[in-house]
Amino acid sequence: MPLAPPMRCPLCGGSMHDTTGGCGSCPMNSGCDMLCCEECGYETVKPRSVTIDFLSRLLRPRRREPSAS
Amino acid sequence: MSTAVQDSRLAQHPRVLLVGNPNVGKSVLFGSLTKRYVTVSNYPGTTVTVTRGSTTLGGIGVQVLDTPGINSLVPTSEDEEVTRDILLREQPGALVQVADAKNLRRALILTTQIAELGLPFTLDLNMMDEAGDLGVHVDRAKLEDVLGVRVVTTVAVRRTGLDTLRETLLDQSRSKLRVEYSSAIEHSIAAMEKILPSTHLQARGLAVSLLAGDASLVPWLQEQVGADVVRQLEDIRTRTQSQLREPLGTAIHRHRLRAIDTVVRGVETRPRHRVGSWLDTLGGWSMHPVWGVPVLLVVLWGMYQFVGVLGAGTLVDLLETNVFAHFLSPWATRGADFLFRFPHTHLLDNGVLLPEYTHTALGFGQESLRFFHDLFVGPYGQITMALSYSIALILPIVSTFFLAFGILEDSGYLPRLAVMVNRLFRSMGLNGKAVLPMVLGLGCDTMATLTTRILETRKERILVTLLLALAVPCSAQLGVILGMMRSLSLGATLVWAGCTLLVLFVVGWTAAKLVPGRASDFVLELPPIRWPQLSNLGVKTMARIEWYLREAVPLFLLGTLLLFVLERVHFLHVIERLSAPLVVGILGLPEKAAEAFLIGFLRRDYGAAGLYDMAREGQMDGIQLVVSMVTITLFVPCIANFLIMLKERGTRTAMTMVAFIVPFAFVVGGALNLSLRALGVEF
Repeated sequence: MPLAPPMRCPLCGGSMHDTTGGCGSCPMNSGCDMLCCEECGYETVKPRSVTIDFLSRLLRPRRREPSAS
Repeated sequence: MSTAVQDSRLAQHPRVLLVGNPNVGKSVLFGSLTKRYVTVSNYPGTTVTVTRGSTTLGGIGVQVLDTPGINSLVPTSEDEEVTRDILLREQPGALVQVADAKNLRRALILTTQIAELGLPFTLDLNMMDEAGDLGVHVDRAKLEDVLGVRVVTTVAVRRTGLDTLRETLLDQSRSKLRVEYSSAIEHSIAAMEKILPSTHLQARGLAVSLLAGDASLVPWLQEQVGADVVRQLEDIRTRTQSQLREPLGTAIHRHRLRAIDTVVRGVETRPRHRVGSWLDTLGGWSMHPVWGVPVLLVVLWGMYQFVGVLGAGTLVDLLETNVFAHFLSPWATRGADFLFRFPHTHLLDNGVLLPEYTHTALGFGQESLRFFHDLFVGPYGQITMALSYSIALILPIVSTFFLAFGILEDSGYLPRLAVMVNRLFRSMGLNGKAVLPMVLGLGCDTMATLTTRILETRKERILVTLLLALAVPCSAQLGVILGMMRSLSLGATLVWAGCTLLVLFVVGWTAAKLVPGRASDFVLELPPIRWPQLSNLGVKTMARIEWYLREAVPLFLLGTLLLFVLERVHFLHVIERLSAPLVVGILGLPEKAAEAFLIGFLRRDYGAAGLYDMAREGQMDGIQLVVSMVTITLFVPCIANFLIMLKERGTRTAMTMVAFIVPFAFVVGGALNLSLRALGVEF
């Protein structure tokens, strides 16, 4: 499966990916909220929001199940 | 296994090396090429990490090495030295130069150096999708023809082109690209080639490196050919330099770039750059040594309006006064009064119930009930103080700050600020990557202290750790300070900023003179100035707010519990009395400010919030506000930062730093208090 596109480091433009580079080799990666740039070390919070995920699930129009008949 | 595979260099040396400039996707490619389990270790004798993994190529099990990103094989940093040493000492069976297809010119500097060393390799033009998006087209076949090595195109994040890349590793060739230097340099290269050792690397490449001034090759050469030959090589270099007007390294680089430009012109087409867009102009101004200052002032003014006025003013009033003070705290107090009954009467402020109360003599049972009542809704209660501070007071401020900081990140201003600050920091021996953690410290000093690992010299790591702990306020603290500025005049704000910056530069400059070592160079690729995307900004800000709630609120609860316990055992007053000569006598602050400094050690913003609360209640005048802001900015780092300092710098260095910072913060605060009062300044 292709890797998700990495986030660009806001400081040096390097790639920030939670499965490769600095994060991929970090033993504390599991459950960590941070993303680390593999080039300059800039760290930022993973752009993943529980609130926004919840709201988008809530607001997403539900698909109607096709009727059996 | 076929005969061709058995005969390949990989069969003899089952090792694949990935080299390339920073930010070209080497690590993503490494992840795609290797199996799941990798080992990360420091390269022997260095602090540079090298990642090793394994894979199978043509039936042969091979090791894959991901080397640090470099810009040249003539090392100017520990990272570059490690990569060059790996090429020197660990003969690779296959070598892949990973290049950013958008920036062929930069990649070819490394390509020409690998070609001169005579190493067979494959050139991987990665990020082809991004190059396409920008309208950059590289004629792969033509480039292959010019270089004489296999050139493949990949998009590593989507795993496209990887099969072709793997195929080329079994059959690599040396590049036929040759950079022609001036006759004096060529003559010296020929002379050096005769006495250089015979290894898997071509003597021409080693000779060019030596002429370019690579002193780090000397220990290896002494192992190979002895001190006499090394002296002869140095003599040749000195003679050659005497024939030239410019430094040899510059002359070599000029010839190299001329050859590269010829190659690039022949194989690359890119759209004409749109010159003159106002965003480009703004980007240029923002890192200019002179025009960058007004741009920075406008940015700071905008942040103050957004964080200080909107966040700390309007939103805090809305939450603190209207929600917490009028509804949540009184409701919680009434609930606690109902659950934990003992004879007492709460004080009222315009009809609103306050946590403070009066009571008559209590029995043991009633004292126990009073304990639980106060734990939740007393003056140091978990609801009336911890949640009120962390949610009503700090959350609106940090939320607006996170949004403003996100705009700075996504607009591309942050790297330009790093470039501008880099120029200023050079004066105190802090050039190079040291600027990056300093800028990051404005987000979180603890994370920034962790990232001092990227600094190449011990001197830079010590200096930056000290300055982060001393004078770089973190986002939450900065937000609260911006809020406190609301009650101050412009003059008072300038005094705070001037004092903090002065301390930063004086301590940095002095420490740079005292700590031995060198500083490194600074190479940073600048993204274009652009409009931030609203959706990205929203997700990023929400993620940070959630992170703050998870990370900071528990510490606020813990800090309040600490104050509650200290107050119950009557030790809080003892601390306040003991620190009175310092807090009241020297700093000229109210006795209660000692609490802010005490909990400031737990979280800096909590300490600042205590002072902010006192300021809002009118317990401090203008001078006291400025003095408290300067002292809390310089004051001891929070506990998380202190633990990371212990881990990263060692107990002795970290303790020395704290032993310097605490008295220093009070000395500066005291000196400021005395000076402002002696001068009769009023804010």
